[in-house]
Amino acid sequence: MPRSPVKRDVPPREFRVPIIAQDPEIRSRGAVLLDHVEILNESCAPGPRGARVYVVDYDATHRKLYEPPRCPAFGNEKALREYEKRLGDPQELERKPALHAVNAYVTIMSVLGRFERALGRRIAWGFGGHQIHVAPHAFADANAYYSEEDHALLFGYFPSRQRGRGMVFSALSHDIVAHETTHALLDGLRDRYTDPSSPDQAAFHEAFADVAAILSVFSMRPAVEALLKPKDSKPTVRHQGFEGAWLRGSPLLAMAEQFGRALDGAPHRGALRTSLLLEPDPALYGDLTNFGEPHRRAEILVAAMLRAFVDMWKWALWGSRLPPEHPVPLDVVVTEGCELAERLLTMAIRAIDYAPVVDIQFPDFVRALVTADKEVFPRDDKYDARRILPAHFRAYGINADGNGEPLWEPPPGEDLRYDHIHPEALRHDPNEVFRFLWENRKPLELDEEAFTRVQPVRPCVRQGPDGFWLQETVCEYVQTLTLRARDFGSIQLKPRQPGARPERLRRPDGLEDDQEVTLKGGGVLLFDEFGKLKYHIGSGVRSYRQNDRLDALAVSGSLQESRGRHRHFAMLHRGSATRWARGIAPSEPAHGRKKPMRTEAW
Amino acid sequence: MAAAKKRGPRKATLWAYDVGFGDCLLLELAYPNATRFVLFDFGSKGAAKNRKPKKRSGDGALLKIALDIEQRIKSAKKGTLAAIVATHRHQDHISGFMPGETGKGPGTVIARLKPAVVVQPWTDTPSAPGTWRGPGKGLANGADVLGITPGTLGLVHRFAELAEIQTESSSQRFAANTCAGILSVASNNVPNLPAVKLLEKVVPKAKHDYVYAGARAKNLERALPGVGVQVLAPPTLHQYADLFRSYADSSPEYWKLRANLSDEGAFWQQMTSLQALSVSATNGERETLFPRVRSPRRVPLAARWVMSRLDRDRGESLFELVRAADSVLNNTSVVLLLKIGKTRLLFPGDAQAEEWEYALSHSKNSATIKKELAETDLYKVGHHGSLNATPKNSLWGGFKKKGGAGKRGRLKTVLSTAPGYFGGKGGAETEVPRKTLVKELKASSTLYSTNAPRAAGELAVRVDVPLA
Repeated sequence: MPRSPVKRDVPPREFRVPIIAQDPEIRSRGAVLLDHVEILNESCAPGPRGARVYVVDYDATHRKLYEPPRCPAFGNEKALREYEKRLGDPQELERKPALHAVNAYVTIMSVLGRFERALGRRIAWGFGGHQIHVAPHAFADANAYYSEEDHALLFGYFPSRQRGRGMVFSALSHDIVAHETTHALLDGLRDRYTDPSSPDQAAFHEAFADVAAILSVFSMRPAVEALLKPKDSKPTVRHQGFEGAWLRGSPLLAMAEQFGRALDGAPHRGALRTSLLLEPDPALYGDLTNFGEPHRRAEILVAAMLRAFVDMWKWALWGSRLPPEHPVPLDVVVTEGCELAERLLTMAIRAIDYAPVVDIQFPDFVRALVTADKEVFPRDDKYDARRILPAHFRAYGINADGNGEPLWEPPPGEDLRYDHIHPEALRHDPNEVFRFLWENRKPLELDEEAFTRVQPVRPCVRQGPDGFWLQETVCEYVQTLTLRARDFGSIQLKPRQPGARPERLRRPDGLEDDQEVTLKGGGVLLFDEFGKLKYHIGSGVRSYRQNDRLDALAVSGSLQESRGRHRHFAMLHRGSATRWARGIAPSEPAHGRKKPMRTEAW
Repeated sequence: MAAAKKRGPRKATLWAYDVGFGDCLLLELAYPNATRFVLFDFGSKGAAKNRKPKKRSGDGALLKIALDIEQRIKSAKKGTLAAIVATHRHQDHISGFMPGETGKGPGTVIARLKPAVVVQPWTDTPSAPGTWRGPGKGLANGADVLGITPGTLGLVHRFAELAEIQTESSSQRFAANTCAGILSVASNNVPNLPAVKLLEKVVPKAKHDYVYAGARAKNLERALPGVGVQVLAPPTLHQYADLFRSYADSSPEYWKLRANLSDEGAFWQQMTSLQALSVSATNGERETLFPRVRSPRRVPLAARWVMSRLDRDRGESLFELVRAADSVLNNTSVVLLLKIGKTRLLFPGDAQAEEWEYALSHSKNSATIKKELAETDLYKVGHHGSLNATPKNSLWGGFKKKGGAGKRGRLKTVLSTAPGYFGGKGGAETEVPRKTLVKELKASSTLYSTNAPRAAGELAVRVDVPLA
């Protein structure tokens, strides 16, 4: 008699867990609007404390540590339903910090999972540890930020300026939690992006965090449907007026609605940022006076991305197939929107692997975005992304590559040497990568005199355009060259255009002869599954960009890098209300200053 | 002009008193039949290297200086104190006007000199409504973009007081140097009310000039015959708001943007209420956020590190805010240009880059102001020589009379400061006075510093100002 197979319970890899879709003020039939996200199944200790996230519910204002809650048993349907009921109940939510702690844990884990899926590998935090601390009620303050030094995401709370609204908890805002988590993840991927550099670099951190936060909401389809439902209950949407009041009025494409309203105090005021409302103007990108402050500058990039998103969405719905007057059912609109957001977010996250390691500027990101997209989706007829995206960036003055498709150039293949380089070692060994760099320093235009360090070598597995899984390796290296100010005149930089006259390194005003300044350069190397170099992206320590970077550092007063970095986001997020303090604040990277002001400082 | 010169002073001398970190400048104008004095500020935060603020009133050093001022005025030919100019409310500018608890403080000495006029910024106008946007007309609505309405200044003072209270009870939680920094800056921003009251009462109401950019300081002009007085700052909020008119007209989101990001008044209201919450929480006067939720019996070891980090982080955050509050007050400074014949004397208080930006770039007569400033003969270095109070290009770059040691009619600069008191931690380029500025002052002007060695018993540095 044949034996019946032994039934074994295989634990699911992921759980589908309820989450606050936007913030506690967005309701559906009186309950807080919830949706579901998938998070990794892991054994949590009280906190919750998993392998990557440790919630420590300490309130530094009241000096009170709250009892660390256990995660509900997400695998148990009854427990899950009970948790969902409590999370959706506004009164319960106001009284129970444990719900805040678990919701923050789930939100962070879902953002982390989204990044890891897009990149095909685990992502390290920027501070070197494995578990990021999360304080959902860290202090009484209208602020929330990622603190590298504290290995932490810190969320404040404050009484709303709107009457009868009670306390606002930033840890309950999906946008804010996703935004701060993205800062932490981006710091893990590109730790040099918090260094003082061009105004674009500080703004990029903000813009990328906003884009990731806004697009990640689209992973929750029912929430998107609820937030987009027209008030007149017509279940169709028309091309005309698509991005008008209907879309702009929805909280979907805005940042932190409750936070913004509560800070403002006026009942009908909107979100903290509504970048979509920023009208295109090619002069904006060059306008450092009005768009030099990082959040304000970030809005240019976010506005271009969101407007491109809306255009691609329309293209996917009507394109060349349907006449514009043809109404499209709302559920189709939502499905397409969610699919597109998924693709755009994947593009944006993967673009980080194609972005320079130091001194990123907005046009670099456009090239990275388009190159990453072409690698993953060679066919682009559904969204026409590679035409629409650069066009919208150009409309704000971010011109990556004339009117063509802005792509990174492949490396000079025939000149590269692979002698004695072991492809297998290239996948994990920084020394082997350095050997490759050294052997190819001429074609890759590395500076022999600079100090070079290969940073983490990151093997990853990605799905190729043909559906096959590919093994790729992403390596980063940084070059630094420390000079005294008196040496500046003797340093020749590479010309801006091929054939143009090379520039000399310009000495910023006020530098004493003996003052040391460090030039930074570096790049990303992307190797294919055979260990051949696919892309080399970056700029050297003798690039023409060094003059631009030094000018920006002189303007921001950051030529000496003795400043602490850990309160970078704390001060940045405080907003420009404290702008007058920046001139004397030692830890402020100070990108936010108006240019004419900082050139006046001693 | 000729008439003005005829009745104007024949000789000018500036006495820069060494008050440590602070300002006390006595301008002596010798007329044919009398000597008239103007006292620009009188306050101190303490001497160099002594980072603890001294007592706010009855301080021995300030009393000694007040008596010296009295002596100097009385011993001059028909000497009178024609005017007091209190540029702004900071402790290091007005603490010398404290009457003292027993009425024997330095302020009492100054009061008995019976000054004829007191000049203060418009923001110090007594009993002004909290939302007052200053004299004149301009945009009717809008945000407090400069943070200098009387209401905001009251909030800033309150914030500083709360910051002091919290820091005093949080010495175990905040880092020691953070505590010292907060107490030092916050004490500069507390209201100094007895001094403010003394300045209000020391002359009749009609003898006060509460000035703003472009206003006439009529009382001061009358008190100093033959001396032209030009008020360059502070701007009123109407004046400042005009800067934003074109953008406001063209952008539908303008007010929302400003309200969210740049309304200093709203910001300080929020910060003060949160600080009040923090203080009451620290003192155990209010329930915690979730009073019914208990704490664990034992703090998990793994959580202790981040808890102490969070406590320290609060301290640093508070320090940033008290510095921001400090700057709000600095930017209410009265900036005066005195014109005696062709001689120009510039007294900018602690005006920061923002005030200068208004005067030199945005005010209606900025071109004329620049021309006038170019001829400056004596410059009292702004804000004790900090990095952004002497705009490098637009102000310093415009002074025509700066130059090497041999230059005829070379610019004279006066620096009232005490090194080592503020900034410069960890090698940051924020020390006061800023080294690069001092180097330039020495190279291109004749620099008089209160910090330079003097003869024993001398309390002030003497600067003779030749009149052209």
